[in-house]
Amino acid sequence: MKILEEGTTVPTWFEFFEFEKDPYEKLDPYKIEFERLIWDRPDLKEAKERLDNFIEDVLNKKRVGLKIFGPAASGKTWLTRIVQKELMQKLSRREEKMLFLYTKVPRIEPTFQIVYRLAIEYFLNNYFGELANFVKESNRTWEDVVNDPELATCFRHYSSEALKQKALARKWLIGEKLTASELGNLEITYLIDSDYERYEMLRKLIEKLTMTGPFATCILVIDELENAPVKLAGQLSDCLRDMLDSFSEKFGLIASFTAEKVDEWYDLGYTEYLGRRFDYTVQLDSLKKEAVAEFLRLHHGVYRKKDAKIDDHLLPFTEESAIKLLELMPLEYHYPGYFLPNCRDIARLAFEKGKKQIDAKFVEDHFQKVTFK
Amino acid sequence: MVVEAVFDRQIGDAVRKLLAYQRDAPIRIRIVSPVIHEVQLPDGEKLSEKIKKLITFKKAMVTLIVNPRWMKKEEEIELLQTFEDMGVRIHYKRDLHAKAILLDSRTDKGLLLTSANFTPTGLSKQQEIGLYILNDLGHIYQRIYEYIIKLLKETNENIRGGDYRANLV
Repeated sequence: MKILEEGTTVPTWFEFFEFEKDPYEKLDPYKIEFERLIWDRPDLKEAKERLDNFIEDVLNKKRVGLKIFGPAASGKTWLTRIVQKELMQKLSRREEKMLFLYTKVPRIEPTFQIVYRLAIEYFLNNYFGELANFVKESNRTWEDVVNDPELATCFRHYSSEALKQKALARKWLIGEKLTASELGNLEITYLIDSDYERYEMLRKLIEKLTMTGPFATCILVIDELENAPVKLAGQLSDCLRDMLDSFSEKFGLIASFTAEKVDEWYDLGYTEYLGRRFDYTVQLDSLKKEAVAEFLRLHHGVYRKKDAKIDDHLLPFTEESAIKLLELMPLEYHYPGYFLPNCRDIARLAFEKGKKQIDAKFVEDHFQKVTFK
Repeated sequence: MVVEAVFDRQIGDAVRKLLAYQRDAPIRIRIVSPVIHEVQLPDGEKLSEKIKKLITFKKAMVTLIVNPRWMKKEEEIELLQTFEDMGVRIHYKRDLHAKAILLDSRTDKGLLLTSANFTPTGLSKQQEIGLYILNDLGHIYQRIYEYIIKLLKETNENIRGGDYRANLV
């Protein structure tokens, strides 16, 4: 709400349409609050069924693998976040916790070191506090819980009040270089300075924390696999295969990559040995005109003001205008990551013209102003 | 729908037609050739420039399978590096002797099967023979597609921790 003068306010464009927040904002799915995450693709029945089976297997503490693929902007990362939400909710009903590690192959500097580092940073930022509380409340030592002398020492330093020690412990665990005296300060004897050691540390971390720690199971998400050069894809294939083989239970692997067809897995350089170990494959298909209105309705629903006086969450769009927008877009853009920004462009134009409801003609007349055309 | 027998210099023109920029995304191109060199195509554009444009502006996925035993010269390794920097996925298959280009775009499925390597000699000097197919003989296209995917599967298993030279053992 913009404040103009004392007591005078003008609604922002999304408030004008009775939304609490901009429903079309492009956000990193891992920054979207859980209450705004909802399964909004009822058209993807088969995908949902496979996803539910995967979730069921995780809840039953099985070792299980899920492969997700689809074109750019089809919602792959969003899907991994949906899995995280559903699992956390279901496990919390059983008073259980899950270790959920998210990492990706970055477009810039796609190396195993960075993949490992992102996973460890995700752990430190999101789960270390929980682990430290568990150690404190259970009156156990780090050695008891972690069952590995070097890792226990690192965690003891990381949980300490001394900022310098904490920083050094972090540096060691994410695999950065340390001087001999820094290593001496940490009372640790080796560095995690090769990809083999990075892989072993990640595997060990998952194993120890699900065996003796507070976590009932672990999910490792590795996203954006398409960014790996062929050689890294080979290396990741070996590591992930070995990881799936080394756990007999309490481990779920989600691998996600951009592709039109599942065979592109091989173009990217990933192996059949790894591919065969996935229990489920989910393809994110394009939005179809029969389903686009329902998609938008569900998506809007979680962004709507609680006291909104409307009888259809599809507003400001109508069935016809949502379909018209999709129809006008080129086929390669028929995915949520392109459709929603275009909805935003149209909704903002409607706001500027004071139009509460967007009809198909308005979409047609203003289509040239949208981003993805 | 096109099925054409192509010979000698016409093969370069078939490459040009398959890699035409005016195709609808998504575009997937798989090039199989034991040897590949920089080639100027009949429209005056270099092969690497065409591929770069397709990757940059059309977000095409381009996969190249070569024979590592025949791509050893400094300029050959440099060209592969150039391709890799553009985003081409390079795979190495020992004993590879097949030559083909497979195109898969939203509206077109194309195939070139040829005796010629994608080199200046192969595409403009030697006597070569080929078959160019566009949106026709779907079952042949599918068989070749499956064969190329099989090659990729075998190739990937040999990467062994990222070192393609394992293929040479």
